[in-house]
Amino acid sequence: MRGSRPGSLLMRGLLARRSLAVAVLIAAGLTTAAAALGPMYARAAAESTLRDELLAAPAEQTGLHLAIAAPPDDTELPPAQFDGAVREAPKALPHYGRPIGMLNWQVFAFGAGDGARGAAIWRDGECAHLVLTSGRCPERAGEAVISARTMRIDGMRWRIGTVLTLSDPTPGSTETLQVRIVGAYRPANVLDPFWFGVDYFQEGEDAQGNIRVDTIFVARAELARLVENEVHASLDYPFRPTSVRLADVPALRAEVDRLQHRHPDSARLALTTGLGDVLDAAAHQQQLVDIGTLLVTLQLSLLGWLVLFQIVTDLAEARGPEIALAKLRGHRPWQVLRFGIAEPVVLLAIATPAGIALGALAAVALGGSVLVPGTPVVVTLPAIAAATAAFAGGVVATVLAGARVLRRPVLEQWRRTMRSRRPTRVSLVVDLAVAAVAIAAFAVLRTLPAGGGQGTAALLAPGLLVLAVALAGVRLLPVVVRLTLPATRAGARLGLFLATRQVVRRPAGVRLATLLAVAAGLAAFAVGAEGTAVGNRLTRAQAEVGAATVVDVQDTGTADPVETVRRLDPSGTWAMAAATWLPDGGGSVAGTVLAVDASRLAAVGDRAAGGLDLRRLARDVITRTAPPVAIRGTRIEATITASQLRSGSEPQVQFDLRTAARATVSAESTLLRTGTHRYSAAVPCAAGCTLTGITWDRPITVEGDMAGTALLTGVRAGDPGALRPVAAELTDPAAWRAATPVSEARDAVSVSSAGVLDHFSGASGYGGVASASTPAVLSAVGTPAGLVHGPATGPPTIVDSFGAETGFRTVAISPVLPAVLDAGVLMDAGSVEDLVPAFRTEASWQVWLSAAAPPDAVQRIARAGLVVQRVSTVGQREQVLGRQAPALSLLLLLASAVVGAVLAAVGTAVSIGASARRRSYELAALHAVGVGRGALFRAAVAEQSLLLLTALALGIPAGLLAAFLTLPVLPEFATRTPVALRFTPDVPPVVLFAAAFVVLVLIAAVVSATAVLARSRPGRLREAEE
Amino acid sequence: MTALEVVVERLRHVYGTEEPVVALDDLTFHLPAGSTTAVMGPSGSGKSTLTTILAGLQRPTAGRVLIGDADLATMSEVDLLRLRARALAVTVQRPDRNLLGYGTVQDNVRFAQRGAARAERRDLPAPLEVLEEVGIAHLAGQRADALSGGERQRLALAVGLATAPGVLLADEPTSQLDDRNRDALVDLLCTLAGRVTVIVVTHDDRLGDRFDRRIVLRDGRATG
Repeated sequence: MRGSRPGSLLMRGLLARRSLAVAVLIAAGLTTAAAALGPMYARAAAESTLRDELLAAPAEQTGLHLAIAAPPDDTELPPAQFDGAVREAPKALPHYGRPIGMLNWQVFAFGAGDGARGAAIWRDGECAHLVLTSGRCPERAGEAVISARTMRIDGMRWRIGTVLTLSDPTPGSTETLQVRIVGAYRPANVLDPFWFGVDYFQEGEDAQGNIRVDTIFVARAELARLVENEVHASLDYPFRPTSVRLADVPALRAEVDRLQHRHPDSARLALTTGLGDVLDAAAHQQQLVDIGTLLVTLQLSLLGWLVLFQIVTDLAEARGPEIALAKLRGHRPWQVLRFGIAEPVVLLAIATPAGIALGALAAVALGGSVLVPGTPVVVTLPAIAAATAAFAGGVVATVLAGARVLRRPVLEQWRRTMRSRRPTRVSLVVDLAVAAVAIAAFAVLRTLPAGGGQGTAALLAPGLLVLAVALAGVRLLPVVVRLTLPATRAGARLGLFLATRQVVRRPAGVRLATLLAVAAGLAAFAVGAEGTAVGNRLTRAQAEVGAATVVDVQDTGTADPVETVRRLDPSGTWAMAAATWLPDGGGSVAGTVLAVDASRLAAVGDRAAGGLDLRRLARDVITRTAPPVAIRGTRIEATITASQLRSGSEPQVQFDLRTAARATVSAESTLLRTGTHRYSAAVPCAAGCTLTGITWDRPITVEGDMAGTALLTGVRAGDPGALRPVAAELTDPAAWRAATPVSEARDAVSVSSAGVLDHFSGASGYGGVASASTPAVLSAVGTPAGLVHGPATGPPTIVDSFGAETGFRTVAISPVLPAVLDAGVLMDAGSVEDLVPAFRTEASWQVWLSAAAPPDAVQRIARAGLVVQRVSTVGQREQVLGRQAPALSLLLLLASAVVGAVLAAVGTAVSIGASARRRSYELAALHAVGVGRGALFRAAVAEQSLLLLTALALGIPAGLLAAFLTLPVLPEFATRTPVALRFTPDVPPVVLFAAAFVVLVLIAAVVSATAVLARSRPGRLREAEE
Repeated sequence: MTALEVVVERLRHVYGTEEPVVALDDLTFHLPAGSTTAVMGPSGSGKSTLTTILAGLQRPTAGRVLIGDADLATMSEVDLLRLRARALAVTVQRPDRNLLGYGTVQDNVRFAQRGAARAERRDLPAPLEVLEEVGIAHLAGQRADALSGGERQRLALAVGLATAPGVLLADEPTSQLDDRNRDALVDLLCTLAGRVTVIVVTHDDRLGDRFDRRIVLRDGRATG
């Protein structure tokens, strides 16, 4: 043949059937997009979770710490060899920043006054991470910079210009250095990754009672001069998490493994890193995402394939006469096949790249809404493979759909009425069997454990349930409608009778209704489940964060955080001081202590779902106390009448005070003497203090029993020569009590009109009287896991790192508490500060802000003198939870279900449109025998509506039922949470979705009925009679 | 291809088994190669059944149908396709069944030629030649469904002649034409005599007058 152009004929055919062609393009494009979306989304989600894991991990975990140790045959590594060791270390590693060198020498430092323990450290570039409050950074050997708060320590008198002598505290060491203080600093942010998780700012007392100061930063040259000492040298390689892509992970792991093998522990260079664990966690998330997306994609692809099958079947039917013509013209079978499937295959071929592009766009859109900003979406090989598989599936659907038409004899094709496709008994059995298998599989999936990949398999469960309900329900439809036939036949509404009769005898609609029911069911499930998941993410985030916004602050020691926040928000409605503290001294607390300014908890905090109400918590942890004994001035004086003192064992009178900054101060007076005397001491209380008690302190020279009676009758305070009486309520029994005794000391305190009387005794330790402005014991609400449970050996205590024991009373048990969740104890911050000596310095302080906080609340906190380190919000936490693998899978399910609903709607429209030609003959005949067009229109609308609405009536409740049954086992988070979550589907969004879908299908019904009627001209009958 | 002889011997066709309907009964005729024949008869006489059997679209219950040497009753489906692809051209009554409405006039001719084996295609006439013969070469680029009734019948005839068949079987080719177009088409069919064996199934008595012979069917039997 000459000049044959089958391509142009094919294009003309596609143009002639453009509605169907567009429908095939849409269905195939969406199916391909759905198939390609899964792998692309999974890849992007994996990138995002990797980024999240890497960003969330502390710098010291992801970074490489290369300790430069002494060679095995040496006892020490002189820092002079530091450079040599550094030369052996890698200069630059992919994904790691420039290594930060460090020399660290634990020292005892003497200045003008008292000495203190601390560390003399050079850390490469430290000054860029310090805020110099005065002076400058050390530039050469012999210079040092100390913290501003170290400068404020009473008794040490370290100032700029002070020369410190640094000595090695190691017994036998004689190494000393002298450095001159050239500046004072405060850390810009102790959580700065630069510090690699090490706390260089640990001012306070150590376990031996020595003063410990913040790090003394010196020049490198200073330490490099030292030989034969205990200087520790190391290199920290800061990790650059944003530079790592998923594709980099294998090489990264290999590189870290190589370095660890190159520098095994105990050799000259010892490498430590926790990067492997972080990557493992990310890989676990990736696995969950992969499983989730695979299951969702499979379901959607199957639904898409079935819709596509339906549409290409209609396309094949529409081409029946042409295929008959090809056979009439003697085309051979393969030519007929080629001619028959060429159009759909070309459409599929066009739809495949379009689908990939659509899938990529969908992945970008989905990723942009939930994934870490900047997460790349790439067209991966698996995505292309999935799209190719979708194309192959489309070809199979085309061949299967076309096979019946291709095999149909020419004469039969010419007949107007097709052979009946009424469902057979076999197909009924198959449908029921599939439904039964689906129900069984659903039941099995519900029993799977919620965590891990197995739990993710529960994503299949909703599809199975809605499939079973759809198959069974749609099969029952003709049976149910058949029962209404007599009534509609007898009734005056001809349209309704025609509609019910058609539904009863129209088997072709069954498959369509099944597909629509499954799509509607899946969408209803996904909408309900996503609504629930969003709610649960908020619930969990609120419980984990504690309040709408939590600001981590650094306690600079200059102001009490509790008082500072109270001044910041006098109304007590939007800000609250809080602190978390992990007691490391043992005791009855196993978890984290959450100390809050309890009077504000209910107004500012968020309730942890499953735990006690915030008002109840606040009520339980607040202990009623007497008013504080406030003094102001630089001197304090007490009138005490002492008797029955053991000679030679008289205790020393010591005033216990708390400054305005809530620092504990002790002011020593003279030894207690028999008779009535005034005891005075200098106090740093010009800005105001609170007298918390008077201790009968044991002088260092006194051993053995120390006993006597002391009657406190008056307290005066002020400046020297101007002392005024203090309202100490010394005759109020509720205002004074025995101090918490130390060691074996015993105090029997009674308060009368005479004053505060204490009979004290003890072979060791010391006691005294205490103002009842602080509680005797702490009140606590604990979680079962937050408290140590064991044989009761006395009242529960909390022990700090100083070894001080403080009793507490467990008022209530709450399954979960804000911020500390199921492993914590809640207490009142002020009370804990008063009673637990180490708490103030060891706790991590925060300011909790409610949603009602002013927009500049964080700035106000900074202006109030608290150093803001980090700001966490419920919204941020929600976002992180929303980026976890299960949430991402659920989101994909939602998007897929919407696509599935669109697909089903497209399939419905196409199928109805394709059936219009067949139905038009019948309606034309009815019109010819006198049935009005109005009745025919109503019949057509009623028929389509009955079918479509039945599908929705089956699918949507089935989807909701699936949500009720499946949500408890469907993983919503990558990790388990003790927070009580809600597992009932969110109904309002489902109702909205259902309403929108009903409107959509009703429009489809009206449009299709109009189309059918438009074709039902009497002229049709002329064609039909041939 | 040269014209082929058509022989029908004792042809019988029965529809159904429980209540059989005899459509053709002991029908025998012989059409010489190159002859023109009109098969006529009232509705229900068996014309359509004879047409479909002659077109190889239906197997007879009994008897033989020879097109040249090929017996349609016993041929395989593939051989029947091959026969229709080259030797036997069939045009059916409704134009839309003969044509691809969305294709051009030329497309339709080419489509008819696609069934021929590759080796045979060089012997086929060029589409424009065929269209020239039926007088619609000027419409070669027109869509088929845009043609008038007469033009469509001419195109249907051209499609039939596109494979240079030995036999042309046309079912009611003039049924939807006005007199002028009908006469023109009949003239065309007559010009084929000698080259092609023409069999026209028709209700139109006037066609029978123009053809070499007529076979009149009544109740499945030939009566004249």
